Amino acid sequence: MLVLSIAAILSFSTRLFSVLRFESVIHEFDPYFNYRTTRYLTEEGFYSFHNWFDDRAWYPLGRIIGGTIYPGLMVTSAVFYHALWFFNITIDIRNVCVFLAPMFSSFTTLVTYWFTKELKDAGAGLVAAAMIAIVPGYISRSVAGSYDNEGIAIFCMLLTYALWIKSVKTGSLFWSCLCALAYFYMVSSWGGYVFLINLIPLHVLALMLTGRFSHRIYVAYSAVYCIGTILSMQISFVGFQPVQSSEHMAALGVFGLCQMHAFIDYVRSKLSVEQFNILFRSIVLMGAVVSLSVAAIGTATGKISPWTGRFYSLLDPSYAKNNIPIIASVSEHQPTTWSSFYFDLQMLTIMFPAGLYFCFNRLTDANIFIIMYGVTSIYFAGVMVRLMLVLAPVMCILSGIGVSSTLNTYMKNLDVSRKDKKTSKKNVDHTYPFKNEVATGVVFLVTAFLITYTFHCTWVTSEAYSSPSIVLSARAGDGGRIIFDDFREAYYWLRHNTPEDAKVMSWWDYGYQITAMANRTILVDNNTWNNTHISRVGQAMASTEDKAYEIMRELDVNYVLVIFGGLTGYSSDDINKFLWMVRIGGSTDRGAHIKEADYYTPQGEFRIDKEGSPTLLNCLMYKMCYYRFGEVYTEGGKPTGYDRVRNAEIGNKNFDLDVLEEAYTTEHWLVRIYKVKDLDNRGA
Amino acid sequence: MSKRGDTSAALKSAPSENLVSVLKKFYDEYMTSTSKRLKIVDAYLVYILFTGVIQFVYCALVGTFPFNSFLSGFISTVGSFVLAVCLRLQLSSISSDRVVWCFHYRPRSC
Repeated sequence: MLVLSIAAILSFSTRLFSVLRFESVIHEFDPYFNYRTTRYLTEEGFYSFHNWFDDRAWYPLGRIIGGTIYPGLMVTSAVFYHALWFFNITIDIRNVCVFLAPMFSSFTTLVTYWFTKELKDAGAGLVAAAMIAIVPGYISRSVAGSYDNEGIAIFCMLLTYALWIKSVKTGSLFWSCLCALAYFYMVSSWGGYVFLINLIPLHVLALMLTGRFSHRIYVAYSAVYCIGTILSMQISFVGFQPVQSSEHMAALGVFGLCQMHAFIDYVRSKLSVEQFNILFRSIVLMGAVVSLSVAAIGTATGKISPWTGRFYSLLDPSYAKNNIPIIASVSEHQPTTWSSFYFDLQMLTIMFPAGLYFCFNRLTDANIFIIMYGVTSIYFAGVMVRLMLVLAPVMCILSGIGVSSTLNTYMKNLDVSRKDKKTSKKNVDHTYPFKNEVATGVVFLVTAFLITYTFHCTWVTSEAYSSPSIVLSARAGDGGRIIFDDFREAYYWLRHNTPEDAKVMSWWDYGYQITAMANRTILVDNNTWNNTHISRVGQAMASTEDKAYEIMRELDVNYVLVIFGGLTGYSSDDINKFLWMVRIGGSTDRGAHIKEADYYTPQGEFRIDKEGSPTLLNCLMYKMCYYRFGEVYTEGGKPTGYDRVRNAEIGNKNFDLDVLEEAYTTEHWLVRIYKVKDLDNRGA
Repeated sequence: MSKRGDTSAALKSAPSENLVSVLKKFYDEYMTSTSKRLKIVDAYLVYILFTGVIQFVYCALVGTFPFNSFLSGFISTVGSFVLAVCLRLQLSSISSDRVVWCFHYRPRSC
């Protein structure tokens, strides 16, 4: 118990690096949207939240927020907020949001302990809990301030799985209903619930194929499927998908198979073998014909919709790259490299096969589940970096089983004291000499592994995963710290110095932050649901000033915002993202005149200096980023206008803007805001 | 093995007869061996199945609007059916002395 509570407290405290170094602020991009919706929920109440139509995003289209989000995260925060305020502990909603993810990681530690205890024993449970408290793969998406769906989704997922294993082991309706309720919580929190609704039927199928089907499995799966499906359709975003889309058909198929299997077994118990065979053959023939025809008709008429792009790209990784540039451009969707695996999991990658071996050693219904979970997670984590998060818990569980079994095997051989020698002689195996020494060596080795694991995890958390992305810091020449707070500076300038109904055009990355902090209407944001609209913005950024002005007048744009890192050396700026703007801009009909090849030099390089392509040097994005930059000295010994990210002097230096005027540039030139000029008073 | 050969020979001669006789035998066996309590639960199961089939045929004939109501009605029949089967499992395992009826039941706790 003490070990477990220490692990829970540890998991909370190791996620607080960024709060201690900077301040309690929401990180990155997506969390700002979640924060804005949570604020709306606490202020307006659940009904207006559920029916919310947002007209401040995706101008002029708007977005139905009530029907296109997973409300679990917001509702959880609002519940905590109201509970705290009920007891007159007045914590601001921002702080509730910032600290929600670490708190749920403590809960995850507890659930992992219980889950592994069900699978093996309490010892393995403690090891797994300690490992999941600090594993970097999970920390990366659940630090304090990373207020995103995955923070609570992993907790819900493990809770659902643990309750599923419990219901499989006991076959009682009580645990199955609890599992269905946990599944509802999971569906409300993350789109990754599709993984659950496919893994559980796969598990049942595996049990059927290995001949382990029994009435316990029947009770567990039928109850979970029926109640879970009804509950999952309560979330508006999910809607009718559980009975219509291909991603859920496996669950339905296995449900039908369950019923048939149970019925056949019942009939088999009543009849003799030969009679049963006759009946069986005719039923199987009829059943196969009927089901095949239904499936064929359903898919052909379109009643059963095919796999959506996001999930299809998991099966065929090259699909997104060739067909959907928006999905391909997100860096989280790229395939995982070997170094990422080691970086995020370190020792677990080695102990994971050991745990698999120990599970195969003692095959039970529950162990088959964890084996399947582990293997499928490895595949999906290899396809997409973002899914490393799904792999981290199962790695911890299996490694916990592996470590604990290894230590169990060898500790039996440890020679502790002379008194026990008589009784311990029975357990000791006489297969090899020097048992005591070997056992001590193995125990030391495993302890050393665990210690290096701890150091690695803490180092990774501190260095790589604790930056808020909205506040940057760097070391000055004299060793002091410089803080770059340009993003918030620009957003608050927008908030205080522009009219209420001003419309801001920027690339979709910054959309959520602008609506949350600057409170202005935007054209495109991170939801990326309308590729044509984003493509229009991309065309505007990639065209010359006059062409871009037409697009901006059409979309009623008042202000344009760009991120520029050339002065400070910040490399995630818009010029580095520019090629994606060109690709996405040229991917629709109206953008057919934008070809990627035009923006490269004749040799095929992307250059911004004098050798760069003239199309690039005259497009709107270039002009907005480098306006007046030609007069600035950035580094000693270099000419003016030296871009510190691309390491080149810019080609097009002293130009004027025709259709824009500069509205604001932040202290370190990170964010630049331009006002779109109105039409002339007199026609030209 | 020889017994099987005989039966398959008998099969080749009159297949449909055999199927009907199998079903009749199953029906007789069912009537005699199941207790009154289980028969009541089975009657309830047949009624629910009937209701579900009617709903499904209606939906196929008339159309799926409003989809909500069809789904709720159909899933409630399916759910009640499943829960009644679970009840029947519990009852039969209580009433029978040995776990004869529990198919493929693995006695060791997993």
